[in-house]
Amino acid sequence: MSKSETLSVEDAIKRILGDHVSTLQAVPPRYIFLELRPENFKYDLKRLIDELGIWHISTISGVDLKDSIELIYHLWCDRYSVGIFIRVKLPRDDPKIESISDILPGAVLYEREVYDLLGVRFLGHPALERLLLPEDWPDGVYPLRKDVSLEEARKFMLGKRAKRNADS
Amino acid sequence: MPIVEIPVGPQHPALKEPIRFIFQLDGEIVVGAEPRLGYAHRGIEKLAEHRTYVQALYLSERICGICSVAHTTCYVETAERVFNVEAPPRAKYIRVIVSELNRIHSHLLWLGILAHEVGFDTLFMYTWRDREMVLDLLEMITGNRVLYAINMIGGVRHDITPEMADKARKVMDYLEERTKYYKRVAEEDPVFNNRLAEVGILSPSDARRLCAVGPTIRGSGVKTDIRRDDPYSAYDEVPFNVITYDEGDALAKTLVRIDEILESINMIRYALDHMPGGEISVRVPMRPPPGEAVGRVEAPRGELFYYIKSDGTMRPYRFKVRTPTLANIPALCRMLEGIFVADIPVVVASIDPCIACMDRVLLIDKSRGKKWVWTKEELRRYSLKWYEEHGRR
Amino acid sequence: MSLLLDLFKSLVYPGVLFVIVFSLLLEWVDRKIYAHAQNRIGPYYVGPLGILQPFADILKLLSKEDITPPHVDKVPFLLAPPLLLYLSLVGMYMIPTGALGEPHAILSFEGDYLVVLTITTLITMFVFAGSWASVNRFGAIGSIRALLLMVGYEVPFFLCAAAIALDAKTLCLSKMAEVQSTALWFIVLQPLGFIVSILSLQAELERIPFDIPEAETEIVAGWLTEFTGKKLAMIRLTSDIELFLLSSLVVTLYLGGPWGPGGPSILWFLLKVLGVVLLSSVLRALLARYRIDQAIGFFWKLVVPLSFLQVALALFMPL
Repeated sequence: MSKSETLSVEDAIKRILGDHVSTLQAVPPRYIFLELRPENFKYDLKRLIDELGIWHISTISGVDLKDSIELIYHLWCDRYSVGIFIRVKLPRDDPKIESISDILPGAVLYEREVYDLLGVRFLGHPALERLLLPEDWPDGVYPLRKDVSLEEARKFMLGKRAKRNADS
Repeated sequence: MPIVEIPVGPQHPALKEPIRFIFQLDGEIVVGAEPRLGYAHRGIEKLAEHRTYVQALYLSERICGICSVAHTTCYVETAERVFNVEAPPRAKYIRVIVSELNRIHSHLLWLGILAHEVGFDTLFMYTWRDREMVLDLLEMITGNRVLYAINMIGGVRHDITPEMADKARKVMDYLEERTKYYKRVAEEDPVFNNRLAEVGILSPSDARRLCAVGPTIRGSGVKTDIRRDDPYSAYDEVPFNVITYDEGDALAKTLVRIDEILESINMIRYALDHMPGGEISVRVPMRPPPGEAVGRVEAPRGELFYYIKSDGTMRPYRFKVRTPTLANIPALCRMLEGIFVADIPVVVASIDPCIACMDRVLLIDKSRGKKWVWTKEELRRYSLKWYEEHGRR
Repeated sequence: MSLLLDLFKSLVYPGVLFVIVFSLLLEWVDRKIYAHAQNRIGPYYVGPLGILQPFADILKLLSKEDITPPHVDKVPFLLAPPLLLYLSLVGMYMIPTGALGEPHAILSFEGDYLVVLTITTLITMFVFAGSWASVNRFGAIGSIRALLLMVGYEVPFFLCAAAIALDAKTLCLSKMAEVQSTALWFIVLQPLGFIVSILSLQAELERIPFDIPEAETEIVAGWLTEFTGKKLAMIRLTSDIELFLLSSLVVTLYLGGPWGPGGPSILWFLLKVLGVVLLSSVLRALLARYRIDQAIGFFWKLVVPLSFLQVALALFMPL
């Protein structure tokens, strides 16, 4: 895990993606954050995966940045022993991006989780359905967005149960 | 024969926690499995955004009871990266020791559950008795049996004294002998062996494709372990072997876990012998600088993943958890295809599922407000009030 | 006077009351051995060393609410538990226990052997009828598994039973026991048959490794799922008496029944029964559960050939 290796993987990424990478920031000893644009996202990701021999995705984390929604794809590259974390920013009013579940089937549930909790639509996902939230959770309310307060989330979570408790 | 769909769960005797599967059956053979999660979803990620970093530590410990220390280790490792602090070397060794003790306890517990699933209750009783010794050890070191509360941002709470180390070494000797015996049972007992061998096979290519983690993927012969690939705490200083078995069936996963217990025993011995002296914690400011960090930890069930984003306030801006069970669900569905109905419990158990851990989690009772510590009197009053409202049944 | 004695014999000793009490004691022995093999204590609180625990369990079940689900087929569902109890008790009448120093059972006639064997089969049939009538998925699967398992153990068990009858040249259980008092025990003459019988006993009683019809982790309580209260109490009692019945059958066939030094005595008989129960409990503690296909395979690939061998040996090498 020497520094030269980290540098070389940075170079490799730059060589593969060229100017499609907008920022690239290495966090020693083993992590690299980089940002891609949503337009070419899937194409770029596929090239990166193929060229670097990546097969593992840890998860997709979504963050509501208030002006946009940021997704981070946490990949692990065995060849260089580095974590490659790919950032992509989506518009908040209609967040959508191409699904990567056909190139990395391990991402199927993570995409559903992000869809469920943050409302990002993954185009081409085989079964983009609710994963964690209860069935009576209202559509269009995404609990991990910053405009949903904790109290609201609690109310929806209780759902019918809250109503029943109030009645009795 | 037509395909029959049967729902299993969320309550079912083979499942110790709520999860639902819809199995498509062709006679006795399972041809497809569709999971439905979320029955234990408590919304901890949202809740953590409303808690300070210290409170979120306790929240993370409560995500899972069995691998609780893996969660806090992952949390403090990640938070330390956000805070730009580093735990002292001795604290890192203590984290390794407690984590490995936790792994032994978790694997023994799992072995017992697996034995129970195949109707081998004698082994179940034996492993759980030995697990008690590990719990006693953990209680001696941390003061607790389940939620150890040993980790804090910037170090650990309790030191390991030489007397504790001696006691731990003795227990390790005993456990090593027992574990070798269990390994012989798993390899040689004909009925036990029959129920596990060639059941729920996961091929290496499927394991990689579906991003399985932990003993599940190592049982398919893929050599991956966060402790080796992306070492945290003092794992880069403690030598150990990454255990893999090539068969990919339930037996291979069993043997991986049993061998990991043996590795953990050696790691604990090494760590106890080579513990550096010095402080066990450093002071940490209340507010971290804005930034973000990722932490990965090899929990007993596999890769545990945390992501924390800070906006410079006292509370995390985003707190993301991905537990190993969720990562193993696609692989589990693949393993369930083509097996007998009678093997479902074994195969489900073979990934060591932890549903509450995976679903994570929303709710604290609103009537309790923000109060976390209750006196006995308050608890009594609350229970009286509850019974008044709900009636005595 | 003889009528009174007969009544006493059939209802108290060695009849109904004795059989029930001793069966419950056997359950205690079984649970204690099983528990100690697993490093547990087992029953402890009711009576000295928990000896009264099985009695307390039955009493508790008797006092519980007796639920009959609305969709069940009432006649078989309600009739099965008392019939099971009745059948197992009748079976015990034909076992020579050596009580009161008598070499013969209460009911002893040429052919009682066949009656007892029929009863063991009928018990499984009633189990099937009762649980099938309970209209429960787990019950249905459990009852089918019970029948499937019967296909496995019935054939080898009956073959070995035939081998004994061939050698003893009688179909009366009491006479079979008597034959062994002058010659060697059949366990020496037909050791294969003894092994097969122990395995079949384990399967008939649905004990590990053959507890497939009530495999808890797979199908809840299996065929027992819908039975509650008094019905469950009767079934529990039946399974205890069945343990007594089958182990005394093994004792009668292979271990010389009540005969021992000093003529027939119930002490010898009970000691031997305890030995068989001990063997069965240890087997239960040592093994894991087979899958149904593995169990049937085990019986047909290994046990059935063994029992054929035993019959052949009995035919060509008589006493």
